[in-house]
Amino acid sequence: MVSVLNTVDTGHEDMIHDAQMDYYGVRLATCSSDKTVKIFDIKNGGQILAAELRGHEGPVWQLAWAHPMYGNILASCSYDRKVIIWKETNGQWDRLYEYANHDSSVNSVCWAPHEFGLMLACGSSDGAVSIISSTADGQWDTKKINNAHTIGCNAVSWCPAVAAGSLVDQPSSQRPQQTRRFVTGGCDNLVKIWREEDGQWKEEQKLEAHSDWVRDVAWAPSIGLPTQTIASCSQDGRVIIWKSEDGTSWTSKVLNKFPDVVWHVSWSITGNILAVSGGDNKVSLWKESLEGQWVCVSDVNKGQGQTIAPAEPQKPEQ
Amino acid sequence: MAARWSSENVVAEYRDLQATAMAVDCTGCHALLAGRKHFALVKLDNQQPELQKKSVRQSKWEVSAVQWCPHASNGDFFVAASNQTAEVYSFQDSQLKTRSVLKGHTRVISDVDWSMSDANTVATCSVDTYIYLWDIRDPRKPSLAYNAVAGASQVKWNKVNSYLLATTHEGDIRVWDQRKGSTPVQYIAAHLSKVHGLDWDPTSEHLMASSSQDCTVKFWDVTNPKRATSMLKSGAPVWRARYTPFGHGLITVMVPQLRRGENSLLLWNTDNLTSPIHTFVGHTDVVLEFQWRKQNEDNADYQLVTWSKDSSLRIWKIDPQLQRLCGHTDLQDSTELETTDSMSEASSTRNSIIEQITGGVTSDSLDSPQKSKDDLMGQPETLQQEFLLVNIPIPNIQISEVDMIKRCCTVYAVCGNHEVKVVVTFPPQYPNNAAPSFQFIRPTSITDSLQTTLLKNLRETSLQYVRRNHGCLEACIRQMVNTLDNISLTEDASPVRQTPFPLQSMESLVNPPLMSIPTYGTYQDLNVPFPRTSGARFCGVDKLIYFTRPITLRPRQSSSTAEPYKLVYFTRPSTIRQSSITTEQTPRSLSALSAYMGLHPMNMMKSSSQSSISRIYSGESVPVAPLSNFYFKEKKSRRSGKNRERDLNVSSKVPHAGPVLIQDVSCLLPIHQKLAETYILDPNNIPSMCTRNAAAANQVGRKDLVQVWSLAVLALSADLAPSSSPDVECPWAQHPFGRRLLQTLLEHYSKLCDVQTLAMLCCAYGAPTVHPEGRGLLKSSSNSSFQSNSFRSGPSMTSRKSSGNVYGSPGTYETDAFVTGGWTIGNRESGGMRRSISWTETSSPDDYQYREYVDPQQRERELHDNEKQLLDPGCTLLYDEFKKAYGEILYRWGLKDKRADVLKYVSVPPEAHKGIEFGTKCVHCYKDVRGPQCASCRGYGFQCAICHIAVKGSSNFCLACGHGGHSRHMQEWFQNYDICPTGCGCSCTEENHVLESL
Repeated sequence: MVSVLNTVDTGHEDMIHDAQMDYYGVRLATCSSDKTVKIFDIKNGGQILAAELRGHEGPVWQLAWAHPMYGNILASCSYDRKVIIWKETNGQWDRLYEYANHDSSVNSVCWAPHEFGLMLACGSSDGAVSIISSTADGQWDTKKINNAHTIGCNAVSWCPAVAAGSLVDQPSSQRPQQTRRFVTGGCDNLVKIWREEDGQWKEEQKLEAHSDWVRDVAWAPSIGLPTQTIASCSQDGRVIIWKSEDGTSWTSKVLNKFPDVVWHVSWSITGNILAVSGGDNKVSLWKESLEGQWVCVSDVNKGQGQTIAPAEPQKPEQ
Repeated sequence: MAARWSSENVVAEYRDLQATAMAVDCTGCHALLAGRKHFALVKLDNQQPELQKKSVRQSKWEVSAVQWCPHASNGDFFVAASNQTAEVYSFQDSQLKTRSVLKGHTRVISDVDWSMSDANTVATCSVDTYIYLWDIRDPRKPSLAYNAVAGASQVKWNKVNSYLLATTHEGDIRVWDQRKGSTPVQYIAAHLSKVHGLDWDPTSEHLMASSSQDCTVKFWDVTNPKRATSMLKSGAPVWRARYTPFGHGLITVMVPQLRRGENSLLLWNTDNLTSPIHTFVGHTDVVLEFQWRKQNEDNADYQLVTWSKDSSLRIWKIDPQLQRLCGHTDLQDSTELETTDSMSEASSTRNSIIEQITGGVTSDSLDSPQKSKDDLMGQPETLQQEFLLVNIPIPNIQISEVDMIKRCCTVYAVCGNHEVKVVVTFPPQYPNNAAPSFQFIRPTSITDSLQTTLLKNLRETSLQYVRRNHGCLEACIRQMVNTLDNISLTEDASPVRQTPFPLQSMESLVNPPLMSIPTYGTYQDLNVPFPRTSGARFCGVDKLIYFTRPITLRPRQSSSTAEPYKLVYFTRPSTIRQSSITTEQTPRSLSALSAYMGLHPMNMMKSSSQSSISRIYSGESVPVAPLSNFYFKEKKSRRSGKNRERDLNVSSKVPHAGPVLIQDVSCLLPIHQKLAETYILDPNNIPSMCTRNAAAANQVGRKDLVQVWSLAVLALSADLAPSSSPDVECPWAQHPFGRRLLQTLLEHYSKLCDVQTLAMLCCAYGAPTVHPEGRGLLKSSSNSSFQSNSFRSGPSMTSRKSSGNVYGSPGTYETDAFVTGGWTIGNRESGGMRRSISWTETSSPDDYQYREYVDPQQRERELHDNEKQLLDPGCTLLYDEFKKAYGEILYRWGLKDKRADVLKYVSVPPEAHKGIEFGTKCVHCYKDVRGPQCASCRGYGFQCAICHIAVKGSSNFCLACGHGGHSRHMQEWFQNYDICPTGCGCSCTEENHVLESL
């Protein structure tokens, strides 16, 4: 049975926009409209405020923990057009890098798979996507895809570093070359897949199905299978599951049409459950049956009080 | 005043065309009439227009807008919009050709406009809320797109600055700058009702006129969007208002009310908006379109071409008398007043001054400005020279009527909406303590008090200079400009009208003051998504984090009588229609918040006193609007106006942020931490390993896995171990209970995403990989290590021990695969890869021999080696991925030993360690040494500091001084000493202690 381990009272002075736990699931970071980021140590049902990060001059929209092999690193993005990368050294959180090369609110940050190095993608309302990567000597290298989405980019998510071998023709080396890809969603109602080629980012795919702004995209984690899966959600209330066997042709399937905007989609680590949340203030979990049908997991909310209630699934439309 | 006469005009009727749109081309020779059925080309002639070409157009849709390319290079191109597409045509050799079709809009295109600067750029706008810029050479997709949330009705390029364009949306105007991303650089809430027409001033970058349903024409300086510079009131809604190409004229057309309205065109002077200066009477129905013909050089008349619903095309002449009424002053120059020309015109005026002056002075004083600067304290000697020197460019100033005999000149200054003419008379003693006199020439636009101030300033300035016997003309002019600038700055509403003779440089013309946009202006947030106030995320392995807004807060729109979203929905009509439950929908853009705040000033005041957060949402000029105020605290009590206020007070005490919940969702996942802890991998005793794993599965209640492991006990029984000889029997792996059973199991657990079971099965049915010693460390080149391995992978070694490279040998062409599509592709592709490896490996001569000598027996053996494996060798890479993915999960659980166990089974070795590596430097030649011997001097690379023999094997050295040697020798030495055995003075034990603590 699903059980609540902790209820963390964050003490934020305004709405929370994102909450993320680190790689091991022992630290919680939250960000809010009160311009702060808070980090809590979660232990045995208790919480300790470990740090409060101030530095943004606007509401902080999203957070991302980097892989622990690079240390305790957290990235945050804000309405103030900045991305800040924070690092903990000896219990002290400091700014490691600040990126302020966007012309509008930065809506999404996502760390690349650790195999690619310390690399961060940021999507902004100025329509651009930035890729920030740490070079060996402590410098930061930035690349920018301008006009990635007309009007604005709302979400980015990296493709897991799989050598599945099925996606591209491998060059003849012992270790298959890993192609770097990520997916973005934007105000042009499109989901786009980008691929790095000779150090340049190129648009590889444009997926059209949403009828309003795409609010979030999530590339499913890989357990090694060659099938790639992406979930996208939109202002139009639809959650769409995109699947590809070969990396070039994608098929779409509407998971559900919700009555209000869907803000967030998140995959479980094995990629079999999708958490969906949106403007209706509800969270629902979805699972693909062996026949390929998406069904709402019903037993999540037992004993939860009425804080969340499962979104009533409507008839999925094609 | 408003004379109504039917001015001399030409009429031609084309009843059969049913044209709805008309355009005049850039040469002024042709007009295009476009309707549902025809495109017709009319040759405009002063005597009688003549229908030159009529081409049939078959379409269900009317032409909503048509425009000729304004550039001579593409002068025969025109763009016509009809329903959702815009098409570019050209008339070539009087044949109509389709050049490109611009498809992209999803609803009716309302307007098209050809760029004033680029012959290949066309802007379209549509009811679908998008504004697209197209390169007509690449019609597949727009080169740039803007979204405005509201449908657009007009799009107009700026006539001066090629980057700017303006669009109208209901009552608003947005100004876009191609250099400034996808948000408007300016936003003007222009009219109370729909804006029908928009026109940029032909000479100024910042001025525009908008005509609206609210019966007004408003004139705007886009740098000041808050207030119109002036307004024209009309008795009827105004359909179009366009500037005249001369003077300060404006032509308007009314929207006829109830079809009995005014079908005339009105000509206004924008300096006097009380009554029109001329009315063009003649059309008997609505005027659909009017455009100007390009001017003939020999003709001072401007011509207006109009097309009306009465199917008549008329040409109206605007004679010099009318032009003068519009404030067109320099008719003697007779040429157009376009900005590009005005520059050269301005310089020519200046030249003429110089000529005038030089005409009056002797030739040696003409080339003396340089000379004169040197003597007499660098001051010009004569008035003539001073006039000459003043010709440095001063903005908005013109000096004319220079008279050397009367010793006077006229200074004409334009600043804001002020025009000042001053006659400066210089006394004969000037500049020797004799100040010039200044006199205003009437009429001027400035008040008497201002004149007095100005005169006073000028006198003071001039006196300052002439007291020191210096010329003062330039200083006085600058003083005058400054004073005027200050005046126009203080007068908020005054328009910054460009002088027709801008003496300023082009840079300052182009440089727009639009830069000063508010940093966090509300309209800027149109494309910032509305903040998420709830969310759920999977984190770690088995945790679900979710947060929601406090349950006590409900979106305001459902509870309030004053619906905050109304405004939002006005601007997103498409969404309304799509959704049947609009009132429950959350807005998509952050700007909705400010729109809401605009409707609830009371709430904002309240909140500002309580919290200082989120000031940012509504911009600096607007009070605070915290996001949580967007949501309304639900209260069961009745809601009268007073109570609501109290509610708000209460709501502010309720926490604005809900709790963050961390849930354990491990029960929903196919993987189990408990299992991971108890599972074991023991390649030495496989049956017992499987039995224990079955017991572990039983403990966590995974009955299916109990069966799987019990099967594994049987399938991996030692009795079934494959024989090494291919001839004895068919290997167990080929039995239905062998490889095929395993594959079915793997397929099943793949569908369940049970990576734990997948990885464990792959490990149990495989064997740990033995990597050749030191691989990847010593031999960084993958190629060389690969060759040596493939050479070594002789028949005696089992394939799984040779780390995958045996698949590079020519024996493996097997593509035995799973049934599902994905698997098959995976296999084939990886198969291809393997083959390609084996081919590229042939570069070494050893390999050639090896390949040429294909022993059939060996080949059979290799096939047998593959066949006897239970795991399909073709899927090794896939199985490796399972193990790596599971390894990653184990790492997250903190089970590092278990992870190491699993990763031992990965066929491809892990990447070479990329951490710190110690390099050695030759003691003799200080070159980097790889291996025991220095490549350059042949000396030993690393000598032991004690025995002076080259070190090969276990060694220790000091991180500070770099000296060291055999581990045993070092250990013995440092038992007794703290310093380096070489005598370099380094106290090694201490230094290394320091280094360790770092």
